Amino acid sequence: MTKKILIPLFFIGFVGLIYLYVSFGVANYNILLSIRLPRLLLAFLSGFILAGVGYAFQVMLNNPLAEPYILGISSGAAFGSILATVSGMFLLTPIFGFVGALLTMILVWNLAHIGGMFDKTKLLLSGIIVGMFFSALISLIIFFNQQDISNILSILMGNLGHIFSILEWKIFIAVFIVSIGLMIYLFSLAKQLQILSTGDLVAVSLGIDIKKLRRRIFIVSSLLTGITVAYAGIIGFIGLVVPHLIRMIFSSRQDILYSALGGAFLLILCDFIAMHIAVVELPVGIITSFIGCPFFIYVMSKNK
Amino acid sequence: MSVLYHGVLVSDFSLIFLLFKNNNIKGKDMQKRIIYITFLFAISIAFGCMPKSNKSTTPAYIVTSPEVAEIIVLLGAEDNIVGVTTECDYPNILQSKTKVGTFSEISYEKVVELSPTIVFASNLEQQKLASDLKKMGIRTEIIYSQSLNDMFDNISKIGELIGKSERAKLVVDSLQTELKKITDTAELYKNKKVYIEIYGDPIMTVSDNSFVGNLVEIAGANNIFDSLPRDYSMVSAEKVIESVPEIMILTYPGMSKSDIKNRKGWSNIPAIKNGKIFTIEDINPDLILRATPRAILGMKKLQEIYND
Repeated sequence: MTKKILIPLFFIGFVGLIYLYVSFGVANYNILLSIRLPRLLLAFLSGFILAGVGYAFQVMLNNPLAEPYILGISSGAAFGSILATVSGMFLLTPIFGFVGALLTMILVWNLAHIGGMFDKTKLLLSGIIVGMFFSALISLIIFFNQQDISNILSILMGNLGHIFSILEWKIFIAVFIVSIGLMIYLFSLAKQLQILSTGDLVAVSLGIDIKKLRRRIFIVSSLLTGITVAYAGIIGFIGLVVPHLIRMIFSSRQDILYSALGGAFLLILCDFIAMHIAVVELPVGIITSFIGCPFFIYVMSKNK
Repeated sequence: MSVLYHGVLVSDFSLIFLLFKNNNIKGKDMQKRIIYITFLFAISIAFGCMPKSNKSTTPAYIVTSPEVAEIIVLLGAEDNIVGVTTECDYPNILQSKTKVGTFSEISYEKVVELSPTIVFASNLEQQKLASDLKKMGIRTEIIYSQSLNDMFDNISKIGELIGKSERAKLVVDSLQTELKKITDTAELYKNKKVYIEIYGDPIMTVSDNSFVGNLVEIAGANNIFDSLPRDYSMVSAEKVIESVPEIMILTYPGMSKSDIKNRKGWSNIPAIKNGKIFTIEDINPDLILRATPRAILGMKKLQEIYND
């Protein structure tokens, strides 16, 4: 199949999916307005950010295993959210999560600059170490607060069913618009990213300041990751696999944009399934892997 | 309103589709299109995506806590219960009610769909539920009893909330009379050491601050764990063996008397030596675990066990 057929098909499918997502099984408009639409927006934003940031990280760190969570931001954000949850401050969960992400970002940034040098290996190692530290803190909290286990699990396994109050909703809309703005900034780096993916040496010889580029991507991506984890918890798979899928199918300069849209599509689809497949709602992170892995194997075998 | 909203949705989505229909898009154009989409979403939201609560005149209750469900039925308001969780299984009439989920996993959509006037939640694991429902403008009352006295207060409170204060007063008064009979004989079992096991792997027990612990004490005996880090808490096997309980009560299914006897190092515990082990076949755990008027029956049963 060529791109010419695939892209229009993708958008038709996307529109159909969104319509199905907001209207399936909805008994009255109160539910549509107060639960489904906010949820759709959150799912869209999370998938869009995760897959886009995943793509940028894989190029920036020159590592096929990179994903939005690799630099520890998610653990920091989850730690903040869990701290708010176990202390009973449910209203402050997203704020704590975002503050956790910010502090982690500053910590990783400073660690990566020890000795004055800044390169991708140091960044990667600092991120992984900080992430492990926060994971240990999370385990500690879980151990002492087993009565809150279901709330903690929903943060660690991803939960798009965040309930907004009127004030929270206004804040979220502002956050949504800012996030889309940051994503557009990431897209504007697409050309430089494409050059960077051919190797540091080539990029330097073409006059790209690779340190500056890496720093920019790190800061923007960390902010974006922090936002998704603060609202939706840690949703795995999307940020790691969707960029690879898109690269296999398209391999063009706009891959990062297609990747982000593909991530949004996959996450909305998986959340739709997670909501309706069982009697109780399943964590969306489980469904993303169930749906995504076979599809990934299929595409990989086709590509040889 | 509803037709209008559907119209806006359809037109939004078709606009998005039209924007992307042309697939010969250059980078700059693509970015512009994304900005358009952002604004489209913002407009849809501005259209009025706000939580609203339906104000209905007939009372409609959703009950997520089995204890409260039982009390509401006892007070004679079962017709006003529109939704329950799967754990609400007593009395039988509740089993035919619409289910909104399980005790720890509740579907907000189903709750909104039933447009309740009051949601009754528990304090255990359900604080987040209460916080979320309040955000959506749904009145939520948290009812949780840690002791028998709490339960009496809560019966009166539920009575007021559902407009059955007089019935609630009658129930509390008759329960107090029954309780008097139990406390009169409580002295007899003063020194009995009782161990309650609510889960076997890991071993979990209760402190005096839990409802069961409170019942055990009021019925006369002594719960071996006065205080624990939590009301329902893990405890090490060593601590149980050290405290030499004379009576063991297991409140969960799947554990037989011989399983307990076979636990390594437990054979010297007096309760096991003298065969004073009581499983769910001997005492219905709901009678002592749930903070409902049935707890009086549970305490009578406990005294029979102490006497045994």
